[in-house]
Formats: sequence, structure tokens, C-alpha cells
Amino acid sequence: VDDLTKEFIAESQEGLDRMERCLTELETRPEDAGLLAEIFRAVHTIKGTTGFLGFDRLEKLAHAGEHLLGSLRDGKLEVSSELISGLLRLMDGLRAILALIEETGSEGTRASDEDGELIAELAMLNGQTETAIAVPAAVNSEVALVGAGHAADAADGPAPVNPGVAASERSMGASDKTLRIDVDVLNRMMNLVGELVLTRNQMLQSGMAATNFPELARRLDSVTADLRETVMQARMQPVGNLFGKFPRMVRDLARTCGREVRVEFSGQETGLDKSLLEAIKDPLTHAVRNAVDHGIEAPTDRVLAGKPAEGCLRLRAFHQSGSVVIEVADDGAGIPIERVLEKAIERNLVTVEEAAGMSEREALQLIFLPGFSTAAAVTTVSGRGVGMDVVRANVEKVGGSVEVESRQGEGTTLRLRVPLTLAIVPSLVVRSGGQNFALPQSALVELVDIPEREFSQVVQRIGSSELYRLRERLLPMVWLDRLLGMAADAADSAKGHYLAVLEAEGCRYGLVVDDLMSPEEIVVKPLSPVLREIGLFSGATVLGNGTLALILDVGATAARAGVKPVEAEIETEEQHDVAASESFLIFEDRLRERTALPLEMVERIESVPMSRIEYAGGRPLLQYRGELLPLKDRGGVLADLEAEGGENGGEMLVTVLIYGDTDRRGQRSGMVVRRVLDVSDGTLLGGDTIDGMDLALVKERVTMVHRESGAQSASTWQEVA
Amino acid sequence: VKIAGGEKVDELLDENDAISLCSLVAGIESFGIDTRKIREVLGERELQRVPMSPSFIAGVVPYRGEVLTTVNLRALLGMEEHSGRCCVLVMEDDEGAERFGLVVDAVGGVVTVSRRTLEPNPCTLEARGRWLFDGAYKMEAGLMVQLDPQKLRPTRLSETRLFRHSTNGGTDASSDRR
Repeated sequence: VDDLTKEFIAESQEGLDRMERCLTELETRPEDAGLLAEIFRAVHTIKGTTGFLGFDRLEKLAHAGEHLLGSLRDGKLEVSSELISGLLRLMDGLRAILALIEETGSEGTRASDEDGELIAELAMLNGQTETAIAVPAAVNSEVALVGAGHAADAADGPAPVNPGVAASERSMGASDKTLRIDVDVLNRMMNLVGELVLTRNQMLQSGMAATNFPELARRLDSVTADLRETVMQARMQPVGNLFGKFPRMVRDLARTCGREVRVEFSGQETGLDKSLLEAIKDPLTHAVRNAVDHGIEAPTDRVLAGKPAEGCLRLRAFHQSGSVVIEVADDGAGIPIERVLEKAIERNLVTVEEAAGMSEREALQLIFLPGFSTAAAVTTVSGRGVGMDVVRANVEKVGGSVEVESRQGEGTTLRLRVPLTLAIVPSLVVRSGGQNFALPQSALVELVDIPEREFSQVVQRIGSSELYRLRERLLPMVWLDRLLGMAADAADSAKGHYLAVLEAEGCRYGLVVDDLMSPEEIVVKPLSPVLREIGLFSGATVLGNGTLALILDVGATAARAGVKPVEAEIETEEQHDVAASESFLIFEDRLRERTALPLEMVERIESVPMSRIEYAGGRPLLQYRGELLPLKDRGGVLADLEAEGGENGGEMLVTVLIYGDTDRRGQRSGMVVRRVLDVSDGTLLGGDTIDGMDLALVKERVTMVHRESGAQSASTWQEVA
Repeated sequence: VKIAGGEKVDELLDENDAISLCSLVAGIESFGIDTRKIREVLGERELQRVPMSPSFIAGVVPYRGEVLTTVNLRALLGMEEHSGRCCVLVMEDDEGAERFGLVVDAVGGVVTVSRRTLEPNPCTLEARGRWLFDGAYKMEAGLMVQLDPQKLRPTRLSETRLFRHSTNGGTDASSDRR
């Protein structure tokens, strides 16, 4: 295929993409002449160009289409559903021929008779729609060309058989390999490269010893950062490119499933790295299919439920804290929780007791479990769950996450969260066996320091496998150096070890490493095929100090070490943990006594000059942000300080905790304390109270907890007033 | 284009005939690689070892913003690993084939020899040698064995399965060290 043809294919495909968008819009806004003109232009350009490139078959089909569009433009025809379908089939036909040309270099003649059928259909639409004859079913057979999965893909809507395969075949097209860049961006890039060269020249000339070397290094740093940002910007593609194909897909799906669906978009201009856009294409397609197929109910059911017959599918893209969120929301029936639980129990994913104790949110997470969704589940459970585990796996592969939210009768929202770019990954550099390895931060849950002397106490053994007891949960330990068959670095291991708690693909384990280095934003470099074959490293990176570090594939490492995915019970356990213990702010008010307030009650810790504390009726008060706060001084701190202050003569500062009742906002009080000690988790001891205060164990020490609400102290204050 | 006189044709022949080889040393043996197939001589570099990789992989080095996989010539020849200096050469990548590095003990100078003096591999050479060597040139100091970089590419080496006898590190190492 020569350059001219390549260019023609890329251009035509872009034109057809535009046409696709316009066609579905045209159905809702038939009077929009601009849309029609756009479609006409796309087909006309193809026809014109094929003429001199000598693709007769393509020209013939484009000509038939142009003729039909011409009638439409001149107002001889009305926009109808059949007409749009016909035009969509024309588009598929053109695409199929283009794909054939791209693959083989010629348009082929094997399937040319099918073109005739399509051309006949178009001609019939042109001549006979006024007499309102429905398109015969026979003509409905799609143009199915060898090597073009497009038409077939559109037809198999209700049975989503492996949509990933079809999509990846299609993604081989020329338009995916080329990229349109704003000339401004390109110019900026060129300028930056120029500046980079200049800076380099200066550096080479002045040498290391020069006085302005630090300044040059700084400039180099800023130019590099700018250049990086600009290149990233050039790689950014609007999410709208991806959204563009959904109206058509939804339309076809809705027709085959007997639904009425309207698609709404927002945030199409949100930029996302091109490679990421490719990566989330399949998961997103899946999510949209699910929403139309299972989420939105049939029109009659909707009316019965008091909703408009036409369902609404909203695709939304927006930025949120450094990542891009893509939402697929429908206003359908939502996911039936009890059916999900039933299914999960049936498939032995959870026990009956576990299921009973699950919150709605936890139950929803079940749909992401592998094994939950099988072909049988699609038909028996009328909820979601068609390969949701695959969706999650795909999104997690690029460092993203998936959440689902559902309200019975109101709809379901699926949220894909992906990082802005793939190329740069925040990671933690660790050391093991004398080598550096990078762990992606996204997989890192927490870090535990195990000093050498405590090692034998905290590590438990079952047979030959070692487990670490982390908050009453046993965590399998994986020694990185042993797994990789490296000799242990004696100097490193003498200092003790660190346990990096990692989680990937549902596995949670502790990776034992010798040392933690710095967290770094690393640039991922691919490895050569021989090294990729090892299967444990997802790439390599050059660290700040110029050395290389291998990037550990957290999921593959788990698999190699034999760590099995733990199911959702982890989350339920966590919930229990939270319920049992509470966070406390620990302080000292009376001497030698530890007192605490539940952390959630504390609003602020203030340092107040003694002079600002006023007295009324013998009770201390503080004017705080326009409020009068009664101060509690259980330990007589104020009197003590006053005595001291008298001796020193200087201004004394008092530490006051501003706290409020969590139930009744606005009722705040202050508490005078000697000093604040710590924030820690602890458990309340039931029953015992001293001075109207509860006792709790916090960090293994008895602590008194102020339990009484701010309201109570406020009321006593009012009595005095 | 044969307008030129006899002596010109001779010169042309000579030019076609002459080949410059970059000489390398591994252990006590010396080898030669066509200079046109060498992209750059990096000199001594710190190699980052890759655990679990085939033993003929010396490790990876950063090279022009990429991660370059290097092949250890000593390991290919079945020699002991040595701790002394080493030298990394970057091979030219023909037609988009993967770029890789070759780790040798030292790089000598460039010698020009006549193609015609190339002696074929002896028929008694074992399979690995037949794969690696591409004949030899007779030099004053002894023989200089020619290597073909195309055959040293990591993927091809791993495909032949001739050199897959062990890995760098492995599951057998250090069972328990406490």
C-alpha cells in the first residue's frame, strides 16, 4: 500500500467516524442541515478520491450513497429510521472495503455481489420511501466482508460474545497508528528541543567547574519538565474520540434488545493519554453494552415503574484528583442485590452467613469477582455482571480502578478511574538482594518495619510458609530475594526487613525486602522480549541516580509465589475492625493521668494566651470565632498556670481543645489540657465508669474517656447563667 | 560503469574485499566483528543484573533513553564469570530488529583484513560453536574468530535453545538463611 493510499484510508476513516456521529444525531434532529452536509461531505470525498486512485468498487458504493444523500439534502426524502439504518449499512460497507484495501492493497472482488445488494437497497430507499414501503427483511442482511468484523459486531448486540476480540482486531487500523497534533503544540516542542540543545551546548562549553553550572542545571531541569509536559499534551486525546462510536452502538443494541435509549455525553473534551484511551476502550464498550442490555428496562416496564419509556444513558468524563473518571450511568432498574447474593452463594463465592452480614455496598462488589459472571449468570440474573471481572482486570492493568453504585429502581453508575498517563508511574523503590526494584504505588497498601530483633516474634509459620500477623489477619510473606533466586545481602538484612503489603488482582501479600529507598516518579521503559518472557517484570526504569531498576509486576509475582486471590471477605473484616476500635486524641489534664476524647469529636487544638480566658460566675470562658465557649478545666490547669505565670511575669499560653458533640453540631465547648500526647486507636472497656467517664484501653494503657456530650456541659452552663 | 581502466577495477575489487573488524577479547581468545555492524562502543558500564533471566544475559544498561539488554559473550562461550573490567558494545539494529549490547572483557583496535583469507569453521566444531562463529582469519598472533551479531541477538539465542542450560539465579538458591 503506497503512501497516497494510506493517507486516503486514514482520511476516509476519519470522515466516516464523523459521519457515524452525525448519523445518530440526525435521527434525533432531522432538520439540522449542517449534520447532513457533514455526512454528504464524507461520502463525497471518498467518492472523489477513489476515482483517481482507481478503486472502482468503493467508488460505485460511495456513488450510490451520495445519490441517496443528495435526495435527502434536496428535501426529496424524509429522515426515517430505515433510512438511517440504510446509511449506517452504507458506512459499514465503505469501512469494510477500506479495511480490505488496507490489509491487502486492493479492494477485492470476491464479495462484490453483496455490494450490489446494498446499492439496490440504497436505490430503493431513494425511490420508494415516499410510498412508505418498509424495507423487506431480506435486504436487512448485513454486508459481511472477510476481514471486517464491523457489521457482524453491530448485529450481535444481545449476545456479547467476546467483544474484546472484535475490538482489538479493529484497532489495527491506520488511524490508530497515526496521531493528529496541533501545530502549536508541535512548534512548542520544537522550541523546547532548541532550548535543550542550547543548554547542552552551554553546559559542554562551561564544564562542571564553572560558576554558573548550578544555574545551567536548573535551566536544563525546567526545559526537560516543560518538554515532558508538552509531549504528554501531544499524546492527550479527547475522550470524545472514544465516545463517538457509542451512539451507533447503543442505537443498534437498543433496537435488538427492544429498548428505547437516549445517550447523553458530557466532558468529551477531557484529555486522556492515547495508549490509555486504547486500554479502556474495551472495558467501556462492555459497560455500555451492559447498561443497555441489562440496566435499562423494556419501555413497558419503565412506564409501569413510572419512568419515561425512553431510558437515558449518560457518559461523563471529568478530572478528579490527578486521574480521569469516566462514568457510565443509566436510569434503569439497578442491580438487584438479593439476586446477586443468591448467585454468589450458589457459586460458593460467599457463605450464607457472610452474605447475611453484607452491606449493600459490599454485596455490589461481588459482581467483580471472577466466577461470579458466567454465561449462565447473564440469563438467570437479570442484573449486571457480564465479565465484570474482566472489566476490572483491564482497568487495573493500566493502574486504574472500577467502582459501581446502584440504587434499586433508579439506576446504576459504573465509574472507571484511570491515571492521566501511563508512561510515568509513581512508585516506591525498594532494595532486595543488593538490587533496586520499583513497586507501583497503586498496588502498595502499607509498609511495615520489622526490626531484626522482633522478627522471630511477629513471623508465624505454618509448615515452611511464613505468615505475618497484621492486625489479626495472617498475611502470606514472600521473600523477594528468595523468589528471584538472588543471594541475600548480609549487610542489608542485618538491619531488619520491611514488609510491603501489596494488593493486585485480588491477591494481598507481604513482600519482604531489605530496605526502602525513595518514592520516585518513574518513566517506564519496555524490556526486550527475552526479559519479558521471565514474566515477573513489567519494565525497567532509570532512577534519579542513573542506575536502572526493574519494575516488579505485582500480580505476576503473587502468582509465581503461589499467592491465591482472597475474596471479598477482606473488606468485611475491615469493617468489623473499624467498628470495634475507635480513634482517640490522648492528652493529659490531671497530672499523671491519661485522658482521651474520641477523635471525631475534636475540631481544633488551639493555643490561647491566658489573658483571653475570661470568667463569669467563677467559670472560665473563651470567646472563639464569635461564640462563647464554656471551658472545662478538670485538672485545674488554669490555676496552676496562673500561679506559674505570676512568678515568671510573662504571657502564658494555654492549650485548649475545641470539641463538639457529633450529634448536635454547633454546640461546642473547650477543654483546657496540660499537653496533647498522641492520636491512637483503642477499645472502650464496657461498664466501668469513674467520675462519669468511661475507661478505655489505648496502647495497652488505661485511659479515661470524656464521653459526655458537649450539650450536657452547655446546659449546666446555661443554668449558671 | 566499467569505463575505468584495469587498475581502477582492481582497486574497486580491493575495496569490496577489504573488511575492517573490531577486535574483542573474551578470556584468552580474540574475536572480530565487522565494524559496520557496531553502533557504539560504550566502554565499561555498570550492568543491572536481571534475576531469572537466561544465563547468557549479562544484564541491562541505560542507553539513549532506552533499556538495552546485553548478551554476555563469556557465558555464551561457557567461560567462568569474571569480576574484572568489562566492556559493552552496542550492535547496529538492521531493519528494526531489536537493539542489544554485547559484553566482552576488552575491545582492541580495528584491523583490516581481506575477505578472501577467511577460513570456514572446522567441521569438528560442536553445535554451539557452529552457531556463534562465522569462520576465522589468520593473524600474526593467532586466529581471529569472526562473530555474526545477527546470531547473537537475545531472541535468536533463546530460540535456538542451545544456551538455555541455566538461569541467572533461580529457584534452587538460598533455601533458608535464618
